[in-house]
Amino acid sequence: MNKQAFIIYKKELRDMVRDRRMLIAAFSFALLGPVFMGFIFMLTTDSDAEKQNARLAISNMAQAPGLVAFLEKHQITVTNYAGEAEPGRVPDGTDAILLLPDDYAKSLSQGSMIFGKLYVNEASKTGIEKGHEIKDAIDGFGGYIGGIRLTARGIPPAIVSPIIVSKFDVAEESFISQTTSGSFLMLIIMAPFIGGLAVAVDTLAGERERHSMQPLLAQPVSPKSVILGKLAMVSTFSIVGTLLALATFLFAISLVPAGTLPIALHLNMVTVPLIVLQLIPFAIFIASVQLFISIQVKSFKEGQSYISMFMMVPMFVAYLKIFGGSKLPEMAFFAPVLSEMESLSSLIFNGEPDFAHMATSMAVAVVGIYILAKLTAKKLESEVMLDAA
Amino acid sequence: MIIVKDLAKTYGDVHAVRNVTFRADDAQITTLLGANGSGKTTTLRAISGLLKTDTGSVTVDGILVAEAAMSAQRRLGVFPDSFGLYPRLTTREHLVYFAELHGLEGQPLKAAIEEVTETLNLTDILDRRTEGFSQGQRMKVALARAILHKPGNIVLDEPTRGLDVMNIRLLRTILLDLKEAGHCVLLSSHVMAEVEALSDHVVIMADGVVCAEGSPAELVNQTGQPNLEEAFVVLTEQNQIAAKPTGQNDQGEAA
Repeated sequence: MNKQAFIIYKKELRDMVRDRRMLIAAFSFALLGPVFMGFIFMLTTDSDAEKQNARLAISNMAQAPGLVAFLEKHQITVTNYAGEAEPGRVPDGTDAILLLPDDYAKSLSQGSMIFGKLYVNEASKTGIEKGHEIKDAIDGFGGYIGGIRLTARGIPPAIVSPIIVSKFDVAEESFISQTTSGSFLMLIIMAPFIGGLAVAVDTLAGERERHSMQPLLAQPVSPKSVILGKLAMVSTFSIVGTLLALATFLFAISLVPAGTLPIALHLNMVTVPLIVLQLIPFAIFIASVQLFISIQVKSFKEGQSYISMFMMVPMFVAYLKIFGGSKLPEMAFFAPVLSEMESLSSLIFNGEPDFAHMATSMAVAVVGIYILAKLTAKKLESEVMLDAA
Repeated sequence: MIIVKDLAKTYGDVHAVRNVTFRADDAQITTLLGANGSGKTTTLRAISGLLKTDTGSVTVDGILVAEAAMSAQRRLGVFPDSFGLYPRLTTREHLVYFAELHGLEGQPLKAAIEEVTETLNLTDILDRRTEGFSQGQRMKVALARAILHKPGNIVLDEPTRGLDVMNIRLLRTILLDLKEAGHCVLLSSHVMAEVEALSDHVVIMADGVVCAEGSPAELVNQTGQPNLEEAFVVLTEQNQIAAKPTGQNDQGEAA
């Protein structure tokens, strides 16, 4: 950085640091990160319900000792139900209600068909899973009883069950793991976007609106130095915001009991410096995009509108990775932002660098910074810079 | 010394200035006098190196602005039409910032700030943030910023706009002092009293062209009018008539 750019950097930094709104806008996201992650952890805790026994309440339970024993053998906790004949809801502490007819025992002993009613609450993913688990177990009991009846009559049960299949889940990671890891990545990737947003708008569009651009351009200082100084200031906010978000992320992780997260994190003395090394050029790149947008507009408000739209980019990319990652062609992961996420993902969740995506994202950042800084400086030479909104 | 020669600038179909030629000498106050939209600000911006002209040239102390804008800007102190201050910075911080951009540092910088503080009586506002300053205080900071590095040429675009009588008098005194010190002072204005009281040389502009120039007394004599205001009206009307295509009446309609 040349001397004049450094003078501009010092002034810009002092100017922005004194604006409380700028500081709140720049760093609130990084500081509120733990709150966001707490929410993620809460969702994760809910997923622990998958590991608990399904809980079933049965009416006329005394008539069905065989069914109860079968269900308990299949890890389902059974209790007696003595509530309404047409339950409007599944009570707390229960995943489903099974209403057996009053003549259950008699029908069973006579070999008659029994009509029961199973009430489940499928308002949540856990509710759906538990309902399926209980229904499968009851069907299993039905099949077991049917098999005994056929055997008693000298008929092999295989006659009515010609095919028996077992289901195996081969997904690399569960949906909850995919969502959690994607959310963590989005949190980190959004930090540079938010860190530099307000200051990028203020330093060019704001300066123009305040009519202070004209006196600055009348000084013996090149547009290149002006943009370099301003880019350094926006980058400082962007980098500090990103590192702060990373620090709060690490702090929040340290509070979580080992083994309770649905994802494995590899944050150590090797991966964390590599993550920082990768995030710094990315933060400067995002700062240069924001400055380029800021110089196109005449007022702070106008700049805010356009840069807020730019904020959607990391969100779209993160959701694309979470929900559509498996369907994207390999080359798509070398696109800006996506290559950044891919490389960070490898570092954070696999503990090993993905050099191809890391090199791509850093090269894109360096080339992007150069081109955008040149274009922004060129635009600063334009006479339209002298007029405000 | 500032020399403007055959300056022309267009924005689309609009001719902002055409064939503007004049000179502003050292130890003199030269005023561009004209109505709103007459081309004063465009001319001053061209002199300040803020815009590129279509044709013509501007030299500041012999330096061609179009070829060496930054060298010319080192010899200029610019007071823009709006003060353009940073509300979160103090007066001192403004001065340090602009002095550093002009290459001042260390003891010379401190001395320059002390001197300008004394000249413009800035002591009571030196370490206050400029947010909430009165127009007079803002004018002082903007002027201090323009003269801090002791430029040979000072360009002021409508410096008295929005100022009260006391601040206008203060500004007038400062400009006269600068003139006495040998600076070339070039300002734009449409306030007759101010122009008459300050100017050694007046350049009257109308519709983007220079329609007359001379000392206030010369312009009054040339038109045979009782004062500069009347002389200005006559000269700009003559310019309008001269510029009107043949066959049009006073309203500009085809006869």
